[in-house]
Amino acid sequence: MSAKIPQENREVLLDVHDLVVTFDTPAGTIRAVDGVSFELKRGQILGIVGESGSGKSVTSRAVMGMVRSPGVIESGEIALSGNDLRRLNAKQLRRRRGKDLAMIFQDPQAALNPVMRIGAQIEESLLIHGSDKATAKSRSLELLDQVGIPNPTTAAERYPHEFSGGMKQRVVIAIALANSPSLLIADEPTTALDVTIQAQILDLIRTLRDDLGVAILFITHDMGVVAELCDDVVVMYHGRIVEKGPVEQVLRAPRDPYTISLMDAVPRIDAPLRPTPPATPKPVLEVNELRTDVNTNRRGLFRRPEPIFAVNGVSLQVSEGETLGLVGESGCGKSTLSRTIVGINKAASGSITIDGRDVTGRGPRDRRFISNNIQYVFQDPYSSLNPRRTAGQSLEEALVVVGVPASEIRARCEDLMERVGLNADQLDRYPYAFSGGQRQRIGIARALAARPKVLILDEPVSALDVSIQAQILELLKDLQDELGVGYLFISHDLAVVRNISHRVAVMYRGQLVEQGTTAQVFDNPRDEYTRKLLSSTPGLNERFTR
Amino acid sequence: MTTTAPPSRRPRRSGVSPSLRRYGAALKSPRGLVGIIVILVLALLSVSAPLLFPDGYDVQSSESLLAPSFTHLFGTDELGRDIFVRSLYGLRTDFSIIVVAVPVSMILGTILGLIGALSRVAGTIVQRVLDIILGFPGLVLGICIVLVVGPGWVSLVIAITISGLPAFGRLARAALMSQMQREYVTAAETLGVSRLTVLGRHILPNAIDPILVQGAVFVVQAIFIEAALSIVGLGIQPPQPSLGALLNVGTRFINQAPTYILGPTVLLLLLALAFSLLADALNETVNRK
Amino acid sequence: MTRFLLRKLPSVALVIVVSSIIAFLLPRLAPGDPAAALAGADATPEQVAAIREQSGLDDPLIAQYINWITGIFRGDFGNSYIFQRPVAELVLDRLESTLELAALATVIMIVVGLTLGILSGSPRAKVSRGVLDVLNTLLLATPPFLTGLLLILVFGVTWRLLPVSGEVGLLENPEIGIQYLLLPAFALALPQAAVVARLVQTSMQNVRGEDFVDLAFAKGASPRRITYRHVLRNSLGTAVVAIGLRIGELLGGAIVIEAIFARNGLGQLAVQAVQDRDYFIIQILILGAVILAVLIQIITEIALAALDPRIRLEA
Repeated sequence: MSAKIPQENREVLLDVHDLVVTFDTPAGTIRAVDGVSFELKRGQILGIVGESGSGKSVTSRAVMGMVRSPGVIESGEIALSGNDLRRLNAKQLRRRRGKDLAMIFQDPQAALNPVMRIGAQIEESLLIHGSDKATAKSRSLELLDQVGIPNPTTAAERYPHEFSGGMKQRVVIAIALANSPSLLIADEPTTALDVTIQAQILDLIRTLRDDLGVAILFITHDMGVVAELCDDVVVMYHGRIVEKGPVEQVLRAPRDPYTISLMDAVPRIDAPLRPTPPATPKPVLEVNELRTDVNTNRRGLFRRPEPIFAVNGVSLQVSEGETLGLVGESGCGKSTLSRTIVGINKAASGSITIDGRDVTGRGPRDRRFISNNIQYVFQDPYSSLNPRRTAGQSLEEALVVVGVPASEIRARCEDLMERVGLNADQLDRYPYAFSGGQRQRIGIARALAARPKVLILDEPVSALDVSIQAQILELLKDLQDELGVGYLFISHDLAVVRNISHRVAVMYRGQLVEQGTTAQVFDNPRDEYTRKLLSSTPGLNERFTR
Repeated sequence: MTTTAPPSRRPRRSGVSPSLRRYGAALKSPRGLVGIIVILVLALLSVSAPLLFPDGYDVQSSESLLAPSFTHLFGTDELGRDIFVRSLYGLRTDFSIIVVAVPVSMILGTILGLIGALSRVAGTIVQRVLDIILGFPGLVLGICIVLVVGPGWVSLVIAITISGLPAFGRLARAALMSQMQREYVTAAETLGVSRLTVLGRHILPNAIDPILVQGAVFVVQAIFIEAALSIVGLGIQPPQPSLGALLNVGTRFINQAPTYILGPTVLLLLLALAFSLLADALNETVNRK
Repeated sequence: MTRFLLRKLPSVALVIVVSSIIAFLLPRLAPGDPAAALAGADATPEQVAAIREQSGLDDPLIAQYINWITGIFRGDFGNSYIFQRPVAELVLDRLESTLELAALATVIMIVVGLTLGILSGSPRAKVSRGVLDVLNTLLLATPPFLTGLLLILVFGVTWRLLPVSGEVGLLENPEIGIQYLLLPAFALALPQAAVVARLVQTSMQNVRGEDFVDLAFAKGASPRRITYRHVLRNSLGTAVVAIGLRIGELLGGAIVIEAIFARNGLGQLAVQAVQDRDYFIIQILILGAVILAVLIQIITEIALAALDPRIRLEA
């Protein structure tokens, strides 16, 4: 760490002064960025953190001169090596863009042109800035090699869809590096990636800084990433900077009340564990050697399609009042597992037992039994509620199905709302009138309507801001203590899983590679994949605990 | 025991339903407003035609092929009939076709598109059939119908209804497919809500927006199909007027009386334009989030 | 590609067989007796029967169908009742007229549609955007027959620049032929061009919101480069599909345009045949239309796969 600090004598590369960006909306003018000032030195990584709507992305786009309409840079200075970029006309700015300053985007799936070869996309940024064809070609191969893409020559001839997400992000980085810019703006470059891939990309970015001396403006919502990567950090809230300084100082001893609350909300990998639930565990959900075939191809004329087991021999159980955390990266089969348990997917073999009753067969009677006992909470609070139905109607639907008499429905709805921390008079609102966190509360209320014994929570907090995330986790814990529901809590976020789980199962390629109490799995992982997952997770390690 | 009435079971809604709010906004936008006003005026004219001109559309006189004047707003035709009167009655014919064919096509198409939700096989078969219909240009389809039914109002209505099915079917199916992916549909299913209820409560309401927009677009197409078939002589038969039938005769006299087709053309354009404006306005508000 | 075509073969064959059956049955579903129509109003029942016998209308339907189909493979499309000539001859006679019209209209549609679409799909000043929007909306709301009538009124009646009625084959006399062809071709093409333009415009506007356009911008690419290399390139698929669909519509529209411009093409032949219940002509025209539609669809799919590396030609 100490190697990074002494940079006072380094030259200031980017000096943003009193930047104001406004958006004209029908509801009035919004100051998305409101008087932001910061400096970035050569070879430095500056993190800008904040929750959604804090203005961090708009700030980074303003530096690139690419604020989306109807956004306008109202005032302020953006000086790159002493030249105010705002004084340049469009053409002059275009000559700097991609040459002196470059950008990496959040979603590598969307950031590459699907109909252009990888090589051509890198070459383009060189050709635009005046290099000849042959140089561009050899340089692009060099870049592909530099960002760690194997076989650059063949890779250059491929199209983006032939690459994985992590590889695509490397290509995007190669494009950004093409003209050896002095400033690199990275807008949440690892948010769309799995943790193990994220760790690799962060490594790459760090190496680039060390080897090329490029300055990096790193926009993120993830405090863990900031702690791992950045030298200095700027905390934004509602378009303003509320705190800035060296990472260690801001994260360990935040002074601003918002930063303090933000740091409190971040689930720590070393926080005390949840107390174990009262003894006499009575298993309410048991899954035995379950396999699910997700090959949806129709049977060929001559051969049967090879089965693809997204879930391949999984056994687990969830008891009353207990949380089993299920961790894994995208594509490991955790969602298919949960969908098989509630009956959206069909089990190929194995058994599912609920409250002692085998429901693998799913007869018509089983279905009712299943939906009365197991409910589902979804990841995306925006798509899990029908936009055309009020919160009350959504709850009502759930209550009617379990046979609550019409006369009691309103009262039950009100009760459910209050239980999840909402007001009963919000029942008649449509989803658009609720925030993401509130919608997730409604989703939980709907799942609780049938008074199920088990809730399956599929990434219930991963779409939420960290402060909202903390609130929802607290709510879930309270509800569990109160109602004695068992949770199967699915997440890719180890810190979150650690926060809420009594026991943890790690899933990899359709199988559970490790299962144990939270303490066992986190403190003494036995499986190699678990260890890799743990070491990849950017942690707020001891250094930053207050 | 209290004697007060039990509290209303129907919950009050604060905030208007999102879709109603948007349709209202569509009608308030400049395009939508102009569109709906023109449509209403034309509809009123066509409805009141028998009151304004109780003698009907077939009053002949010796003053044939006159240019427009104050006595004959659109001039007179080859039999000395007032083209304005005939145009209003023609408008009536057009409206009568639209009013029957468009809603029937919308409903039928939607039902066909949604069949896929209940049975995969039936859905596939329906799709194939709709694909085949889509392969036929509107006019060729019309000609096929005329061939079987014979020219006239009925075959126009049938031809228009059928030619609209693929578009409505596809939209309904697209809505079905995208809604089936939505988590709230999965949520309803895991709650144990029946398929039909899910269809009616979650999928259909979300399919209605694009179908409504397409409905407005389709009115324009319907007007054109009527006109095209009538122009080639396979639509409304004389002496009954329709906007297309008037153009059919008018083109024959285009050199002697170029003003003949002017009136019916303007009405046709107005009608088509009004519905496209409405469609545009609806489309815009519906797509706004 | 060959594999793709081979895989497509069964479904193509099925569509053609089914539509041949429909084409065969449709005219026969109609009320009325073609033999009676043929024989004229004051024919005796015996005369009608004789004609029916002679035309093979008495044979069972299956026999008639097989007769017809096997005839087609031999190049014999049957005899027209009305014209008393082989249908093949009649169709060939009129083919040139319709082919010239459709070909020129297709070219105009593609050129005008793409130009208009690209212009309105690119960022531009408010005024020119407004003009383009209005122009496009007007064209969209005007069907071929109205465009035709307006063109006749303006260029044929008011200014008398171009002939509005009749035709001269391009092969016969290219110079005069093109004069006769221009107005109907434009009348036919403009409304379809507007549809193509609108689809291209919408697609370009959608693509413009994609991240890779931002990335191109961040590279320092000029607006022109962004529009052509990134936005348009990704909208071409939509354009191809739109054009493919519109060619069918264009052929349908040819029927009306031929009527308005008094051209003796296949459309006019079709209308006449429907009015007179001339079975063999109708059958072959419907079948021809379906085969053409299938061909266009296959070409569209191949073009689409050539444009987008993500699509592979597997049926």
